[in-house]
Amino acid sequence: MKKILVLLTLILTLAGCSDASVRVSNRNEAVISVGSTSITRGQLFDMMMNQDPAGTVITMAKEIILADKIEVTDEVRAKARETFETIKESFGETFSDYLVQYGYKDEQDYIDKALIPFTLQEFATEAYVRENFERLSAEYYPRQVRILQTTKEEDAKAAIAEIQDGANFEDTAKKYSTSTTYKGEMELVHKASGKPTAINTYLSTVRQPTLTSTPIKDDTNTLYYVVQVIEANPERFLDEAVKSLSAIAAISDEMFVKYFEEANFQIYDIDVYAGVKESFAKFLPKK
Amino acid sequence: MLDTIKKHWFVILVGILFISASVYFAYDQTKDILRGKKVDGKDVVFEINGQNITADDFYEKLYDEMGISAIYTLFERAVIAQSAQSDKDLESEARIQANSTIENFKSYYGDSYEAVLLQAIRGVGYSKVSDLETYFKHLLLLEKETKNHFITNSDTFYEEFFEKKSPRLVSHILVAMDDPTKPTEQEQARWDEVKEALASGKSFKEVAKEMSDDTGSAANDGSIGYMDSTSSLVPEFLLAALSLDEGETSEWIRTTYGWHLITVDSTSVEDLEKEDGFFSALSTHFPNAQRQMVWAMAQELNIDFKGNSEMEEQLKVFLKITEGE
Repeated sequence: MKKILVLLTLILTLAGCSDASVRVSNRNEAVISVGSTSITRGQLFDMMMNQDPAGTVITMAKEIILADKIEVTDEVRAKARETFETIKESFGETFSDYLVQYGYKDEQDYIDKALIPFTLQEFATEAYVRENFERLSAEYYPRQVRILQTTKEEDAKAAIAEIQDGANFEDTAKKYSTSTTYKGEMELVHKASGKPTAINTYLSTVRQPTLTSTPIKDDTNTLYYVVQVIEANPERFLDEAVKSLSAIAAISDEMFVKYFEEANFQIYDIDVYAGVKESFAKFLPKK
Repeated sequence: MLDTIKKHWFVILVGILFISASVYFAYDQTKDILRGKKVDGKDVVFEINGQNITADDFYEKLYDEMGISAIYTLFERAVIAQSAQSDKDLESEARIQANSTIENFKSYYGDSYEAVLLQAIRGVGYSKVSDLETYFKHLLLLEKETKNHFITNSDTFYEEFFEKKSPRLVSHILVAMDDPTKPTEQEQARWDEVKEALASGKSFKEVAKEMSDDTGSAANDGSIGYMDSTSSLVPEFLLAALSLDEGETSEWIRTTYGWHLITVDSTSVEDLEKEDGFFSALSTHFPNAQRQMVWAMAQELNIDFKGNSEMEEQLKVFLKITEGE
């Protein structure tokens, strides 16, 4: 009888368990004191943990995954340095203020902590796109195209006729295109390039180089497009297509979802879990 | 044994059913609980690729990202709590603001207000809803100390501020019109009434109170309170108000709202120091003044960085403290 009571007590105790919440070690160790008040590691940890740590967890987890998959080679360092120079130039004199504001000790600290991980992610995504190129090409249909835009259907029809008669596409765009975006220059586009749905729908069906036989009408407004597909087989412009697809956030997300699952991502703190569930649910383990 | 079972089969059956139900209850209650993990006695925050990130590892990462600003927040609270003098009025105001915030959250978020409020209060570094009063008390004390700091050091701050911002207290009378370039008969009649009232000897304040179409300022005898050269006012109004000296009244000024008569009530330091807007504008113009004041107060209390000179340097950079300050 006593054994049964002990068992029941144990079961009921278990039932009263609460969600896990982490604590930093040496919580009472003072980090700094002012007058009679000490600020402890525990206080500082709690304060920082209350600033939505989910983003930091995901960043850290991605860094661990990437470190396992991609080596920091001279090529990675050179690319990170190149990005650094571009950013520094764009910020101008305010760059050092920016570094201080975001807590970097110096330029090298910024490269190591921000740009190397960023570059590793770029390299990892490119590798992922190459591995899955056939499927991703079918989904995003990258194409090399020239596009011009008109406000009148007659202009679009006239442009098509002139191009069919051998006129240069860019010259024809100069004559008819009403947009500064669509100047008839050759560009690489895909489903996520932000082109009008009507153009995307057309491109998804094109398998050969071709010129639209009739203007493509954008039903959301009164604009018409003439599209010349220069190359419809992305294998023929592989490097460009890989680079372009790698820049699609949904693809790098898809890659990380797969890698998080493979890496058996687990969280052991209820607040972190809640934060990740709210903002990064896709990375949580599937039940 | 078999005989005992046969004899007490019903009791045993009930016992088995009871234990099974208890086990199921325990499972049901705990199945969604998030389990913790420890490695070498340290709490683990997350695990990936077989690598455990402990709370200590995570502390370092968070410290890199936001450590200094978090330290400053706690540091500022410690300094103000020890150096600033509270009083009954301030404590009462803190209580009012805390209660009012709770009521606002209740009416906006309904039953879930406490969870949302807790999230908000944790975001500013406190741990429970009952800390709200302490939070407001700190803000009020900090504001009070900052005002005193500007007043005590007026020689340092005021000359530049007055020269660049032209601070002043302003009142106006508005005759609102749909199209101020073409007043309707009714609008024109109303405008004439205002002009006649002023011509008959009624004071600016009286007319503003009784006749201005800007009901917000009319309730304060036409006063819009503090303004300076960076105030968000329609350009014609701003220009006219800045071109006047203390006590002067403008001609009728046309804006998109209608026609305004503007007067500058005061440009004196004494009057401006009664206005919260004046101190807000000073804080905006001198963005480091408050933090540097906190640093100066802290030095009076004695700061011990526990031998961490790197943190001391980072905090000084964060506060824009130069050598010798």
